[in-house]
Amino acid sequence: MNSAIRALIIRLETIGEVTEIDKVALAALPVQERFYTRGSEIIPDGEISTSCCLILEGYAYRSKTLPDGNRQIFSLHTSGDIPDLHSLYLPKMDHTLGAISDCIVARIPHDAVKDALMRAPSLIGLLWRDTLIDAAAFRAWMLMLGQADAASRMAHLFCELYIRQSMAGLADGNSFALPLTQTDLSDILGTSVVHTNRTLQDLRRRGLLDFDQQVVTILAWEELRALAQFDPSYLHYLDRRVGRVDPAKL
Amino acid sequence: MPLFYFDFTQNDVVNDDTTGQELADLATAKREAVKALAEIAAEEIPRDGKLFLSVTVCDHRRDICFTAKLTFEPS
Repeated sequence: MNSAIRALIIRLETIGEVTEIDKVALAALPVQERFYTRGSEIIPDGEISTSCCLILEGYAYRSKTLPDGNRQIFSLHTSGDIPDLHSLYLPKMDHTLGAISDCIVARIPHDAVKDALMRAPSLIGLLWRDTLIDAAAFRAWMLMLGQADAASRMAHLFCELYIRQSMAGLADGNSFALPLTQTDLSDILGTSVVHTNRTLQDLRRRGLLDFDQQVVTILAWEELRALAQFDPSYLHYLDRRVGRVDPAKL
Repeated sequence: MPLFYFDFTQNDVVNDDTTGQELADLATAKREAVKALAEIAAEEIPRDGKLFLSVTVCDHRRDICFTAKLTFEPS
């Protein structure tokens, strides 16, 4: 089986039941792997998309940019995610999907995905659930962007990414890869680069985490989580332990 | 890109920038400093009480390029 499809199945198994019929249908999907260098656009805003992008390696992001050049990043995506699953029914992109780090993306033609849904109808519910969880994550980000101070907002981002990377099997103990510049981070948090830098130094000084723009290491999970007011229920994992125990033990 | 340091003072607490930030030019550094000052003020002022904030932008030699100050005095 293609490694991108394997990553997708790992992702789907964390949020629902994946039947053998589903797996056969997914394994039959034609994928074309492409490499995107950091900073490049995978599918630009306004483009008509004809395939879904399954992330295999690295981080992708979704964003929109105002005419004055100010960019807001809405979400980050890693191995096993299909950040543009909605393009199946909304093919004209209303935002940009880009590579925030070097990325390997498996492109799956829309027709092939629709064909798989015909052959394995239980996939419809599963992929719908994935899209709904994506929307739930947007609500959580919106709440932090609109209502939380910069330190809580940053802590929340690191908490979410840590849980997601742990559940995807991509965390190494208390660490996970996150190749982001401070400008990327400030476009995620909606704060100036200087305030972002200052906030990061504050979290470091409090001994909550370390981040060298390549790797995040969580140093004090409970304190970080309390600062973030982080409740991972919005990620809707089947495993009810998520959020109630140290995710490093998952 | 040139490196700039952003040293903040909040009431009596001085917070020296140890890492610095690479930015396109001094104009960008000034704009970033002012934005950061406004963002910090927006978070700190509702916490009540007097607030004095300042930011000093230094170049890579640690020579001062720009300072901005903000005072909030509720009566």
